[in-house]
Amino acid sequence: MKEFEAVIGLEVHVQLNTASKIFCACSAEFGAEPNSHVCPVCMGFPGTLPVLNKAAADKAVQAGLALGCNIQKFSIFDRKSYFYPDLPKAYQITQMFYPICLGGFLNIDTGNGERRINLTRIHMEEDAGKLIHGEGEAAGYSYVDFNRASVPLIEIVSEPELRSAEEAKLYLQKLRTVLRYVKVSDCNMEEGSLRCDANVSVRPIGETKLGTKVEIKNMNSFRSVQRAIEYEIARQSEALSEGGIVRQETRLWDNDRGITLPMRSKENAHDYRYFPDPDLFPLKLTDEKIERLRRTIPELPDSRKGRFMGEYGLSAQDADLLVSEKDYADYYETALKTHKSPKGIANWIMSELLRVVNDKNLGIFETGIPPESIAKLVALIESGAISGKQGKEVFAEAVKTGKTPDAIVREKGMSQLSDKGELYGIVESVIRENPNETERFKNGEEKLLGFFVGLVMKESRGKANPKMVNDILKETLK
Amino acid sequence: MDILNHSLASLAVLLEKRELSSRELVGFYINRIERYDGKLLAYLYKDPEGALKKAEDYDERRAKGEKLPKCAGLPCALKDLIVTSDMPTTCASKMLEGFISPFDATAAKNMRKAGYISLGKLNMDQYAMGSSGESSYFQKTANPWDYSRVPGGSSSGSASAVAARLTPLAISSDTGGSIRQPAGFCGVTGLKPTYGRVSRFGVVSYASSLDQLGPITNSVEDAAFIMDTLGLHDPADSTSAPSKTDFYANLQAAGDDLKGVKLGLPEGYLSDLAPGLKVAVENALKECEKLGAEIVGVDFPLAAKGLPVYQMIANAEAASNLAKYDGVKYGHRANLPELEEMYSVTRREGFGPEVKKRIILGTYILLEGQYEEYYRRAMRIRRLIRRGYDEAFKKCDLIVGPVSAGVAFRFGDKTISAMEMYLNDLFTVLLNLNGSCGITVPCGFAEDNLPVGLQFQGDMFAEDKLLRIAHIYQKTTGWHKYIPALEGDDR
Repeated sequence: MKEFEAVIGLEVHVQLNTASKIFCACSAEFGAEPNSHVCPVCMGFPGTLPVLNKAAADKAVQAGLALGCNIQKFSIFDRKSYFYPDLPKAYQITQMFYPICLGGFLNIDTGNGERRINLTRIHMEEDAGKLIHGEGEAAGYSYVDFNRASVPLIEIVSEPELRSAEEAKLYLQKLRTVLRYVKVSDCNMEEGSLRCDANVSVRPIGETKLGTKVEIKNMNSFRSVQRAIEYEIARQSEALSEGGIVRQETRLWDNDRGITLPMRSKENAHDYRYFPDPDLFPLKLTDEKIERLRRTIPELPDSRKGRFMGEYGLSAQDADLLVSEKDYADYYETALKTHKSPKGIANWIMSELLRVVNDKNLGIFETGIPPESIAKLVALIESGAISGKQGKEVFAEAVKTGKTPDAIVREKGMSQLSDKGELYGIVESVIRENPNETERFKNGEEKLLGFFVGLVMKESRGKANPKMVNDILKETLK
Repeated sequence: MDILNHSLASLAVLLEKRELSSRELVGFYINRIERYDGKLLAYLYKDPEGALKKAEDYDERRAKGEKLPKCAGLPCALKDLIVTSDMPTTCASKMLEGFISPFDATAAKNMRKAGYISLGKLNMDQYAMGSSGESSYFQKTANPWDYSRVPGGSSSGSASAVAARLTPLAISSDTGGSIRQPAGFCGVTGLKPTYGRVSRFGVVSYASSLDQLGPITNSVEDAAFIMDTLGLHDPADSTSAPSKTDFYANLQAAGDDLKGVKLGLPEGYLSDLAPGLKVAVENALKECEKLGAEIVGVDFPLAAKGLPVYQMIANAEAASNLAKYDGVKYGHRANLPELEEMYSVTRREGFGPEVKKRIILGTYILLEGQYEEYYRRAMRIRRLIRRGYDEAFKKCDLIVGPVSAGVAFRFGDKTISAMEMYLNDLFTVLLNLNGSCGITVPCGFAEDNLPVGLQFQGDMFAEDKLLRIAHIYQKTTGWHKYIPALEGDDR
């Protein structure tokens, strides 16, 4: 079998998290009662006209700036025509000929180092509604929910530069991270605020011409994107190595069966009859406006990761995890302001805090443990005021009650006994009360040290600083 | 009191002074509608009870000394493509038969806020597609000067009703001449304002880049008066211009002559006209010269391209705008179980032949292979046409000429081919492509004693100048004062 190489380009639709829809004032919120966020405009009633929501354009520009795009000062909205019950006007307003962003790129960390994946463009468009197919008595009927109709989207089109399903997954994850940094979308694939179509073709290694591409749709998670592309690469490679051909078509991913199935061939492709929407003037952006939006772009994950490694001495892996969400990185750096222990705090966030975040599906700022508390906790442990084991107890209590580490340590009487005088007193009384064992230790039975440590700990109700107890015992028993 | 002798402004004053009640005024027009509309068929929907109730309400409030809006109690009527929540809006189509909009068009809202009372909705060519009114699904409105003739289109009901004094004013729309041409055929005044001047929100779209609302009235003065209400900026229409509400005030300072005014007459504009009509237009030009205007020749290099360019753009936009009538959300639906079948039968049944023809043409023009060849090229020529207008307006204040090549023709005139029918638009479509303003005023009578319209075309947002010149011509000549004898009249 010949060796094949995959050529993959992704078209990613991202819902912008504006308060209202892109061409009317209806709420763009997800999950409301069907047809409760609708008006004559987004339902395409006779006589209605679109008015661009400027906030949507701002967010599209912010996304473009975060992805290194060339922001277009002049872009045009076009109509894309097709009939479907969830498309109220029978055309979608999109940007075909003059999109708002051109170019741009995204760096991904592959096993073999960093790769730059170039973007073709980003354009704005409106979402369609949703069909709900009736069940039971309503079987055979379909209902339309227009809540989603006209929710703002951007479509981010990559160049066909991805070479594996793994890279596609990394690209998507990175894209999600960056877009969440600039807060233009929550990029939730399950809720549909990030949707991905993949163009996949294969060619023999060494070949420079592109193979016939197949578009895959209907992938609802990062995992299914990866699986669908893996399947498609295998399917196409097999077809070609058996002397067959790959047809240019659109295929749907069947997640349950783990295969792609033909949806429509190129001959049946729609002619969308694109033309500029005469109801909307071109979107013009001034340099000042673009600059103003550029100033809203925070430090992005690539740069932040580099800084975390250089400034705080974190490993690439730890830095990656901490910059994967802007909130994580912000939380981390806020904690460092209280107690400058970059590695200690990083470890506590990654091992303990993120477990709570994931288990309880909370934001990192919502766990009840503010960054100051984590810092305080690490400081308590590092100063020897409490043990690492006690630290975990304090952490669990803080999650449960929201109290500060100081308060918990105080209330539980947890702080370690590190007072030398007091410890000497306990040690001396223990030695006094156990003359036989003292004699045996002095005669070389050194394993009895543990016996003494145990007694001291018992006497101090577990609060004695174990390291100090050890030292004092050794010194006293000499 | 002879209501018909008064301008809108003067009626408003009479109402305000309580020398005339709104009940009397509205009742006067309702009586005329009851008496004459059975034969004219200008109205698609009438609401006499509702109108009288509103009139009485205004009268009562006025009697109590309440402060009322400036046009409180004046009647009006709307072309049936301006959506209203209190009356059906059908576009004279089966597709929207009985359709009641969940909201009011901005123009309808502004009219109501100013105090106007709507007498009803006026017939038109289906979806505003036509030049004779004959494509209405419901009825064919007659020309009040000769009931065997068309009133023109697409604002057939509007022009006919205003000419017959079944309303003092109609709010209509003009995409390729739909206000100006029927105004000419019916001997009334029709203003197409600059694109963007009047909100299109709530106006059922035909061709979005060409559609514009405007008034049909019995005088230029009335047109200016109503524009103060219609000319408000509308944030719901992205193409809406800033507010302007001083049309009428500016007209008061119009003066009495046209000294210093240059009227441009495009090359060849007067050839191929019906002989009687040509004489009337030439006389009008002479009249303007007598008033002090200078007639200058202007070049219109791409005038001949106007019609095909208009058809490309209008049909393409129409095909797209009318795609939403799919039976899913409102309007006619063929109740068939399969989606594709429901779509196609709904549209086959709901649209008339003229509408279908334009949708098919428009769809073809936008197909992937054709888009560059037709639509993009049409848009490029449109830009050149605009440049032509810009050049012309460097040499003259307004362009003057006929609004049609002939007078109103007979219903079902088989001697007129579809192409000739479209040629009717030749004198009007260029202005829509340019986007600027124009007006038709009556300028006499020609063949078979039918009225002739004179068209003035102005620059972008040059309504004040347009109205001033048309007004001076009109008040000097007085052609607008002729009223047709109606069938069922005692005269």
